[in-house]
Amino acid sequence: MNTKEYISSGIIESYILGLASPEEAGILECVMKNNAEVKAAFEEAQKTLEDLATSQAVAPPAGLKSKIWNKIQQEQTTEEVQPAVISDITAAKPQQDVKLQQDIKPQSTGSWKTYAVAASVLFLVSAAGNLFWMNDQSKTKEEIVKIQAEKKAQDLAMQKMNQKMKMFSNPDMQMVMLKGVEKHTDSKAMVFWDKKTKKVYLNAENLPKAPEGMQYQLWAIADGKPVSAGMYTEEKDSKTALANIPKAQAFAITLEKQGGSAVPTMENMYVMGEI
Amino acid sequence: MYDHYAGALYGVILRIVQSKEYTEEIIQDVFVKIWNAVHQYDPSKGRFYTWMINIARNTAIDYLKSKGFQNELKNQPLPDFVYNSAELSTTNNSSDFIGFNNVLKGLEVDKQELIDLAYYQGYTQNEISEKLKIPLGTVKTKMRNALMKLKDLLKDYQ
Repeated sequence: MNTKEYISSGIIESYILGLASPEEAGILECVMKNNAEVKAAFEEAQKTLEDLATSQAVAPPAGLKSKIWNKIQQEQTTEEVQPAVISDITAAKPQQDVKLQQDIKPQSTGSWKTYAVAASVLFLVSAAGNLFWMNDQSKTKEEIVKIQAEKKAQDLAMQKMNQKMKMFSNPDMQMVMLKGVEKHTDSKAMVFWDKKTKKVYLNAENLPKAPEGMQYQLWAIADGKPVSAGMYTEEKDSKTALANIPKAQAFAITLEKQGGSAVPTMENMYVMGEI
Repeated sequence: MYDHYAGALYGVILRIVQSKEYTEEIIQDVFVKIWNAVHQYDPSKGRFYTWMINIARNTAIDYLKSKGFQNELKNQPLPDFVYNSAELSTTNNSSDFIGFNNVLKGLEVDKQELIDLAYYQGYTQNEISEKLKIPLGTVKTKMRNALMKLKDLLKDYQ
């Protein structure tokens, strides 16, 4: 079968209508990569059906757009809050905590999330809008890949923010600001100490990246004696408890060899903060 | 994205389900689907607009089939269904369909029927072949000819 016969067999139209068998589709996809004529016929047939759709466009009702946005927002929120809740089962009675917080500061958590989701939706919609006006096909493909990556990154960032938000909104959570000491005056970190469960979480994203083979270790200073409060990794940041600390007057972070030390290496202390 | 494509997708769905009420319901699902599946879109398998149209078509056709409308539609003589369907007139806004009708009316009746079955009613080519009593290969080539003709018509129409 030559190219002309192949094109006029109607396989391209079947494919676009979703009626081609998987074998036929596989063959066509392969042929298109190597045969410009088939590829052109493919583009043309798509264009025809797109023009048909454009020519018969019907203006949708005015309120529809916001209905759709609401729907997408709802999906986004439930999707993104879910994993945060699961990963944080350890936190005591999150339901009640959130409620308490809302009583104090009405709506703060809810509206924050809504705005964040709305912002990301707005951004994507506007980015998508821009890109669909571009005629350049290859550029369009690049843009779509970029958007997909951006959405992924945003989803991740959103999840992280949700986790932090949970920390902040927990009234049992005592926050201890750790400030840079001596040569590390620019460094800072934040300890979250759950007064109920005694679990200690650490936000140390502002510390310089630990060198190969080294790790940050958190110390609780209780009655003048340093007690290890766990090893920090980026994955645990603001999310996983490092240790259970029943008593402390201060917290400090030192840089130690991988796996930690029994006593802190004082000259490698980065930050410290009293409660 | 919504502003540029909602009208076209709305039109496609309305054509398929013939009811504004259902169309409004379905198009919401369609946009949510598009949103959730945008990372699955593969540019090597077609243009983005076509991809969206197909999501709209498939969702609407699935809807029809699930609601058991399909039999009802099959039993109606096609030209009547396309232009004089009772459901269509109950939308009370037949002017919505004028543009579409004008374009397709330029086609021979058999081509109109073919496009309607495959595009708007989700018939497989085998089903069309049986229904119209023409060989499968002929269905495919006829479909191509219908779209070629449609392309010319759309050129004049624009």
